[in-house]
Amino acid sequence: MARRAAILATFLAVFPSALAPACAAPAGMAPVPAGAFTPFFKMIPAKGQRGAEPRPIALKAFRLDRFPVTSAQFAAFLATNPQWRREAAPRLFVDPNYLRRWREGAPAAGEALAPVTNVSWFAAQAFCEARGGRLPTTDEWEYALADAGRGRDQVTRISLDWFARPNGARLGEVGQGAANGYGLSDMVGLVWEWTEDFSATGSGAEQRNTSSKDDAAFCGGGAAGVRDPADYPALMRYALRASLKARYTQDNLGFRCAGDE
Amino acid sequence: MGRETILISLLASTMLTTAALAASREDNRAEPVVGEEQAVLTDAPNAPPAITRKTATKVVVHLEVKEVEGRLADGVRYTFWTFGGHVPGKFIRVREGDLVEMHLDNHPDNKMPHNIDLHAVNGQGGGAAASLTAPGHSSVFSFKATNPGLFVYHCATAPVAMHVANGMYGLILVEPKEGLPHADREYYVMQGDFYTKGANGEQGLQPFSMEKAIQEKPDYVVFNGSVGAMTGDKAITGNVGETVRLFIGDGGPNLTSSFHVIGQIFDSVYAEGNMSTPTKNVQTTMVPAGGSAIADFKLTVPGTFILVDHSLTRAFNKGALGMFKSVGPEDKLVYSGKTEDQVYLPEGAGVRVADAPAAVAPVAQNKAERIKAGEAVFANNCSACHQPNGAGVPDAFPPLAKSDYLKNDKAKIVQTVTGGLSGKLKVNGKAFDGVMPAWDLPDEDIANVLTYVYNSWGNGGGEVTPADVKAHRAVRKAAAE
Repeated sequence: MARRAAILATFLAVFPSALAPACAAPAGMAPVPAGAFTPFFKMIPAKGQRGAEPRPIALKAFRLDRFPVTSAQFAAFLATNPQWRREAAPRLFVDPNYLRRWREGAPAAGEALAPVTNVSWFAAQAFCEARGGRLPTTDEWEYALADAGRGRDQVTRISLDWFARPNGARLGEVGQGAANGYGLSDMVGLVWEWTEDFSATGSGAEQRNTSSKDDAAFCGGGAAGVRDPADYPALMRYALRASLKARYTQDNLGFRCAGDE
Repeated sequence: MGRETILISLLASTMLTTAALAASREDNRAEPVVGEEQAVLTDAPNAPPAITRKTATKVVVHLEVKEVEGRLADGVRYTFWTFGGHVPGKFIRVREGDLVEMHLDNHPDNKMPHNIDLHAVNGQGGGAAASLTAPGHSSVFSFKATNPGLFVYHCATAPVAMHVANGMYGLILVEPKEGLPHADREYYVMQGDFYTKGANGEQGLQPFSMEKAIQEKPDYVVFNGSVGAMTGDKAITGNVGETVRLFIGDGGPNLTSSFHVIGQIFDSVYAEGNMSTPTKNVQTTMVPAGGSAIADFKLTVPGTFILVDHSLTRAFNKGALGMFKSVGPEDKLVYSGKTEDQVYLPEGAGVRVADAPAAVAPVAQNKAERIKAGEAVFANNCSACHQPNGAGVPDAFPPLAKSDYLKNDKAKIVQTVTGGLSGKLKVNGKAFDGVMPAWDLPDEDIANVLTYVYNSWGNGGGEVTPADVKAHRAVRKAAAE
């Protein structure tokens, strides 16, 4: 099964246009092996204890989309789930900018292979569920980006270049850049991505969650409570997540789906 | 009076002082809010008009956060994050006792979440906790302006240093009830340091450099958001006889400014933006990152006065330079200007020259040697103004690199060095109006340095020989006679 998926995935990497709506959903996923992940946020020590350094936590193996979900894929989803079309989606689940450049269930011209954006967490979650998957947790997503320590400088550089790129330009297509060691492309540099537990900073059964999301997102609280205050792009990602509510949508915010092994 | 009585009266007076201060903040909290108005917001170098209201009111402030690409220096682009579209952010002016309703609008085109920490706020994060706002959304909170002063505001979203390094800062003046002393002109000047992936002057869109920011090694230190934002045509101005007030802020993120105006003494400085105790007759005032100062001075003479961070390589090499142009009649008593220029012959100078062994200057044998020798001449005599890389200094010293001026004929170029040059001049499309002195150097040195310049920084090549210089001098001499 894993092997077949890998072959399919390789095929998709070579022919990204095969990501068109017809393609079977889980085929675009890459396996991410089990491993240890050190949360970005420190723990608040219990009274009378010291040592707020975060301890590594174990993550099970999972699968993650190789690319952000494209507009074409989302259009296919809307065809079978018309209740999520721009005109139909309830305001409780989407803000007024939901799919704001879409018309009649179709994305803006020429953007079929760009990541879908202006989607709420609810819509993203519904998309992944319809494919038998789910959104990745923040820890899973960050673990996949960390790529077992490979290419960290690359991630920083791509992120800072992306921040500097003027806004308002059309989004690029997925799969233009190189994949990381797990075979994942466009984790940074194209869009932000939703995670399942975006509003909790580094939560987990094992750990006492540090700071409220507000503390995590501003000033001193931001620097004092994290594993590496020199990792500006990571701080940006966590601050962005902390600013969101599940119905919010954004021009630069997309998603990819995860699945269990 | 016994010892206890003295102690008690001391204690009582201490308590009285404390009570008075606390009452002031409490008074401002309690002052009734009458009516409502929209804040008048301005971009640097302008400040909103003084407040003449006698009552506190509700002031509604809308700040729109925009991430915009703009000019950092000539040919250098940068994606600024702004409160209102420009760096520094909009100037906000309210009165002590006002209720301020802040609306932070994060433009939907933006990539980043943003918030605002106003140093004028008593409250968690200065408002930051209440105003974290995703792109395409808007946050609202309010605060009572209980303490008068000139305060910095800035974005405080993690990583705060990057948000501030990209330009997210501005000033809010909480004007005291009695107002500030009258000033004929008020200006808004804010310093900031910028960190780019490429070195100073490297062209094109420059991403933020995280490494340089963390090392606190900026490529640019500027007033009002870009190199040259307050020079040439964009200089701030005033007339002789007027009183000028500068609202000075330092956004940082890192550098403290040693703020100075060349050729002016500040009559009053409200240090660190405090309103109670102006200091008199100040030359240079320290403005901390995340802090402010107000400087008042009366214009008594005409001239161009240069605003600098007196940490001078920032002014000279990184852009921390602005201009204030004062127009009006001279007052020769206050400042005479140059009255004499005479030859200075120190006593016994001739003796020493006679005693000294004749200096033997090495003579270049070919063009390569000439270029090599010229490099040293350049470093000693020319690089302070024209810069070691020949780039010059915008609005002050013309570039020698890729310079169209060097396309003039050789005689004119030699004349520029031997005879000096002053007045209006255009080089590579940029206007200059300065003075280069005549250089009293040996023919050999002049030939070498010009050959070096001709063969550096993308200039067209060529050679000037000592014979050329000598011939030129002869022609000039003949013409003069």
